[in-house]
Amino acid sequence: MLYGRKSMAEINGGEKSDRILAELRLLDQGKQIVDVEEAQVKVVVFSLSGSYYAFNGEDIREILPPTEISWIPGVPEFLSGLINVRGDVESVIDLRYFLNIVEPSPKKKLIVIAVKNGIRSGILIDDIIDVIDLPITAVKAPLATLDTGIRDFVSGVFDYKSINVTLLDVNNIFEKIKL
Amino acid sequence: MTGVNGAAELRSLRLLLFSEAGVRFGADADLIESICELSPDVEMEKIFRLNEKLKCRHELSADSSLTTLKVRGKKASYLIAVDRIEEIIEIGIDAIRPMPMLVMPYSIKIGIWGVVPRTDGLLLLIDFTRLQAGDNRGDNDGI
Repeated sequence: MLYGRKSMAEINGGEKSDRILAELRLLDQGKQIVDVEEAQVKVVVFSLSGSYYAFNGEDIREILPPTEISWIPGVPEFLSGLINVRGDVESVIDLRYFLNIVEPSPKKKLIVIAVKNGIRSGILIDDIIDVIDLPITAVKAPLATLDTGIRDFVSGVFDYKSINVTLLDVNNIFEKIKL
Repeated sequence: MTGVNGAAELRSLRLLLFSEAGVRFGADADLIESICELSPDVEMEKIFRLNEKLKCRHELSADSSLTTLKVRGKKASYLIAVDRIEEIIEIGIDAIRPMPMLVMPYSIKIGIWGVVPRTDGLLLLIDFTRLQAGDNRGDNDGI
C-alpha cells in the first residue's frame, strides 16, 4: 500500500487512520460485487420497538393492517389473542416476549401472517420496512455475545442500508410456543 | 342421517351467550338447567366463579350483580356465577372454528374449545364439563 510521498512514520495518527479507513471502504466495495448466479433469499424487513428484524419471505403469507385482537383467558402473555381474518380465526403472537423487549410500542401494530411446518399464526410488528432479495452469503451468524435466550430465535444478521437487521426463525418461535 | 358409529350427526348447536369480564362466551344451552339471579341464601362456597377459574384480567366483581347458571354436571348439578346473560341462539356447526393450533393446548385446559366469528366480535365456546373437571366442587357438592 502506498500513502503518497510521506513515510508511515511521518503521517500523524489522524491522517493515517483516515487513509486506512478509505482503503477498507474500497475493499468492502469490491466484496459487494455480487455474482448474478449467487443464491438469494427474499426477506421481509420490519421494525419492532425501534430495532430492525426480518423474516424469511417464504414463511410470510400476508400483512394485515391494525386489526382488533380478541383477548383469550388462560393463555400465556406471548399470545396476544385472536383475530378474524375473512372468517378464519388466527392466533396472534407478541414477539417482544421472545426478544426481551420490555417497553411497549405506542404504535398500532401490523400483523404478519406466518406459516411454517403446518402451523399458522399472526405476529405483531410495528412497521414493514422493505421486502428485499438478499444474497444468502450476506446473512452472517449471530454474535456470540447475543443473549442465549434470544439466540434460539435468531437465524442470522445482515446489513440493510447500514442498519443491523436480525433475521428471526419462525419455526423456532412456533416450536417454543407449542405445548 | 347418521354419522360415525351410527350416532346422529350434529348439525347445529344451541348456545347460551353470556359475558364474563368483558369476554363473550357461548356454552351448550342443553346443559343449562336454569338461570337465576344470585340469591343471598346460596352459600358462596357452592358457587363456581368463572372469573376465578379463567383468571380473567378484571378483578372479581361485587356479588350482587352476578347471575348464576345451574349446570348439569356428570354427577350433580352445580352453580356458575357469570357477569351477564345475553341470549340463546342456534348456530350451524359450520359456523364454528376450532381454536388455532398454538392456542388450543392452553385454552382447552380451561374448557375453551372453539370460536365463532360474528360481526360483533369473536364468541369463545366454553365446555363447562371440561372446565368443571378442573374443580371438584360440582362432583362432591352439587345442588
